[in-house]
Amino acid sequence: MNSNKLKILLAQDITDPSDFPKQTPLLRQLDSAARCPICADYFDGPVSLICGHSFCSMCIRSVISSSSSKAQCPTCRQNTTESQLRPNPAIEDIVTAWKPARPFVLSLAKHEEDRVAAVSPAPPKKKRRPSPPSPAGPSGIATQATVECPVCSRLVAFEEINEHMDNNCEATDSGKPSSKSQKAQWSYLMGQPKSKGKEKDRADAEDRLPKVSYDILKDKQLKDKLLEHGLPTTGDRAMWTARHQRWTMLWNANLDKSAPKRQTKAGILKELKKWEEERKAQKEKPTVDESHLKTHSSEFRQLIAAARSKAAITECVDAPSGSSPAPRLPSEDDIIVIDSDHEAE
Amino acid sequence: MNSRSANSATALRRLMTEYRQLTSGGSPDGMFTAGTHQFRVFGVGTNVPSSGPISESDFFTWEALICGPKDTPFEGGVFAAKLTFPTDYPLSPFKMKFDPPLLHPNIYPDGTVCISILHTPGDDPTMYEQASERWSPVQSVEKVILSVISMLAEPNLESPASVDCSKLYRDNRAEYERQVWSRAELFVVT
Repeated sequence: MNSNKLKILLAQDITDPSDFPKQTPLLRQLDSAARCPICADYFDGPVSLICGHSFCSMCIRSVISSSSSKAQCPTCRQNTTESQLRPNPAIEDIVTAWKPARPFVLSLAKHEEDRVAAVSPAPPKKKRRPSPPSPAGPSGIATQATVECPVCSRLVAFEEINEHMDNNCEATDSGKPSSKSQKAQWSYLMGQPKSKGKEKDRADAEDRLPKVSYDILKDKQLKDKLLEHGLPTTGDRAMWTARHQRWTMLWNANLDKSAPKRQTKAGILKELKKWEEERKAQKEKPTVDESHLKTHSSEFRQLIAAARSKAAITECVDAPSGSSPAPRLPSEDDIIVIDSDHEAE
Repeated sequence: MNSRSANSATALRRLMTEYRQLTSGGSPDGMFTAGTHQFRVFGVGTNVPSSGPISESDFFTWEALICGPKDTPFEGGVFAAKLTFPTDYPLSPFKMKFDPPLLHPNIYPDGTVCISILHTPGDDPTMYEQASERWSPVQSVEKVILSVISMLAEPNLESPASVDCSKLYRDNRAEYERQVWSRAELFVVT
């Protein structure tokens, strides 16, 4: 059932701090510091709690909404609420820079490891020499000399420094992955929307959705709430509640990301749809597994037999008083349904 | 009531990461490594507990092999436990069941491990545990197994899962150790 998904995942390279050689513990530390402790992946829209611990926005929102008792920080267990979440753009920037830089740094670290292994026990090598914002294209080649720009103090390749300063420290057009997002960030700071249509969509998306007490809403009100955001109103009330809850979560988590990384409303809707499909697929799974039924089949059979004989007796008792409706003889199917219900609980 | 945001894709990813971490590095102090039947990276034989999914098609069921800690009646044994992960892992903890069951005050007669780190703050079967030692999504397979290893060495008699065994442990330690051994010997395989 899951095997397809599993294969896709296996094909993907799952990265992990232990990719870095043991001799570079600081690189391992750096890599794990850029990861959310809940999903163990790189931070996606990181937020900080009041205690200072950070998580992906979606991760911590899921934890808070699913915990039956008081919501707590998963790391230090300080009480928290959803309203205390604060976006952490500093971490987001680090992740943005580290992700594309990682393969290069990794290759350097591996290279260094081989070199050290070839030579006899050498002094500990320098770590973190190549600074992340310069993920030079073809890896393996030694880093080009970089210099610090005297104006914006960003690291720039030596041969590009003049052009860089001529352009008012706008990122140079060497096609760096980070330069694009930086440009976007600048334009965001300067209030020059890059692409008007999208920016507008984001701008009116600026408001976070408040928490809703679903229990006090009437069906009609709940439906209106869904329609307000253009959500489907299929399914029953529980489905509506779940859908609206998930939508609120996705929506607010999206706002925790920095503006250029945000999704459009359509993107969030798509994500919601995916979630619903997954949820449905899970519900359709049989709640009782075959092996359980098989191993306990004799007990089930006994129970059915016992129930039948009991039913027969009640029928006999009831039979003389013709007025009462004839009790239904429980068929085998009925009983199994009851059993499996118990299993589900 | 509250909709658990079950997202098996997240769970799967996190499990894969944890598995990778266990296989590639193991814990820093080298207390255990991991592997699967499929990939044949088992570290049994040497004094290394290991854990990993039982089959490639189901990443939500793992098998862990745990060495009996030193200076305990479990010393020298390798014990197999089945780990069953929920689809909303790591929001909910996984379940751990020794198969064959171990004789231990904190292990139910059917082999299920009763340890506070595997209970969510909401449910408290024994009403003893503090919230501070419960499951939280930042815990991991590695941390839980380390806790279980230390639990094997030092049973928590305040909340016994197996009352008989707990009594035995308290009143007649020698007999407890003997029974642990004779039970363990029953399952000596390959």
